[in-house]
Amino acid sequence: MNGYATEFIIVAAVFFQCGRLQPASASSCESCHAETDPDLVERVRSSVHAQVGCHGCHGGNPNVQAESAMFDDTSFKGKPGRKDIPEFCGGCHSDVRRMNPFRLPTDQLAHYRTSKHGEQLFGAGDENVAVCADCHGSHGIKRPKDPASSVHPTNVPATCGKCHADAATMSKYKLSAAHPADYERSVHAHALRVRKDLSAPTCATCHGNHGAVPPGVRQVSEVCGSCHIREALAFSNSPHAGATAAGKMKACISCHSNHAILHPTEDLLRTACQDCHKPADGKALQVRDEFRVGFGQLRRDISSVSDELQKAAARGFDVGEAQVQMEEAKTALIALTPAQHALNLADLSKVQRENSNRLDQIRQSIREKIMSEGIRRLMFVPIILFLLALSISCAAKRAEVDQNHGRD
Amino acid sequence: MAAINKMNNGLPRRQFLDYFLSVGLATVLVAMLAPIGAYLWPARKRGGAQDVIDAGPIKDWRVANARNFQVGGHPFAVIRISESEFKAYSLACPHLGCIVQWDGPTRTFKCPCHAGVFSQDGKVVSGPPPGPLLAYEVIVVGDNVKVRVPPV
Repeated sequence: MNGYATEFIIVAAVFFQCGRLQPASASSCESCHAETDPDLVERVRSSVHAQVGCHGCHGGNPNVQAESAMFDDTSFKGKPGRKDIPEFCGGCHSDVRRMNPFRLPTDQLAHYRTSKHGEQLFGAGDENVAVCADCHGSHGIKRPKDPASSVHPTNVPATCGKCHADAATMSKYKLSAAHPADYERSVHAHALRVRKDLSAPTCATCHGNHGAVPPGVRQVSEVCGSCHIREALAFSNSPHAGATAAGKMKACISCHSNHAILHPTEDLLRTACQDCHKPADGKALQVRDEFRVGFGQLRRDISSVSDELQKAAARGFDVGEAQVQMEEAKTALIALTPAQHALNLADLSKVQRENSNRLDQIRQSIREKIMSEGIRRLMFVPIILFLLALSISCAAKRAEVDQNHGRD
Repeated sequence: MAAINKMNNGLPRRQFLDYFLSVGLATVLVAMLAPIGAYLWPARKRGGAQDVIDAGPIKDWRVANARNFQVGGHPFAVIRISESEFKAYSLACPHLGCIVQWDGPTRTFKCPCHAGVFSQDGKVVSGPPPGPLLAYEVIVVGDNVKVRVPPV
């Protein structure tokens, strides 16, 4: 009896649960709209809002059949106009009580109002600007972490690019339509696409998402510096910080550009500095040259000693300590890259001095191991001489024994 | 002259030959038996120990202090998290491979290259590292801390 009771409870619980999870299956909205647009119903069912149901956004009474579900219910909102969409979504997403259980922020609408999109929509009444549904979709909205979501990091550039890569649309706002394509060439896109690093910056990382605005010239170093902390700190101690404050320079952008940020190489020092510093500006170009030559030399030295180290390892030498020193030398070189933004030659000299000591020690340790191996090889000579003498002695002994046998 | 004469007579030459052969053959025998002995000798300090590194005694190891080691050129650190807990992590930053440094007062690992910060659990606190530090297994045997490192 107890067994039957348990089974009944489980079956009842499953039915109850199914009913809770899929309220829309009993909705009159779906039963009608599935006939005309089955794909629409499927998108809602697979969306993050599946449990909200059609009436959760559009109102109406899903328990009433046919058109009475819409027109006889005062809560029915129907399809919102583009201008009304932010407040339509904000009806729930700005409601702290509703969003708290999902641990979602409720300031998106407030942010949107401060964005260029929001200013254009609410201020200028321009309904062509992006609203919630343009980026997130409408019926098939996925969680941002879902790779199928239009706002998943890998999809953000294409989502923004729907408008921002359209030259005809952008020309109305006097904006360049090249930014999405530029981004795809950048070191950031490389990190996102090739290294699959989802923390790599996309459009929204620098511009914001709901409160998207282009950062002003003076904020650029802060925007870049929110990730490139060491570069920003060094930059703030450089002569360029004053030039940026005076409006003579565009901080990071002046050398690295903004969207097509390529992997910085030593060649960037050659090309970027010349754009502002003319040959007459000898001191600035001298600092540039010292950094350029210094970086090149450090890189070549590391590469050369690294080759020696690999050869030593391939010969079976224990080079563990030397490998750690090599990693330290590489770390010092990588750490110099952000530090160079201070344009302080003392930083370069320090790394040159420290790395020179490290590489000398590595070379010395390899030399000692090679010498030790040479000595061990030399030891073969007395051993072979000994074995030779032993063989000759054996032969002599045998001759002696044969001779004795002959006498007998 | 007397010695040469003796050599010419043959007896000392024979004795020398016998001595040399005895010593020589004994040396060869020892050289052949040495590897067998080394194989049979109980392996207390070698053999199979390359993947377990001795990090030293617990005594004099203060909480929040780290000791650095290397195995096959890969640096790693062992930290005393609390009186009874030790943790070991590779010091190679998962971002670009720079060597991170343990900062005792803040109980974090800091990368000198791009300011990546890791907690004492090896997790990323801030910065560009795409993942946590590689953790190694720590074994406390009596008063000694040992670390099992992956084969190099």
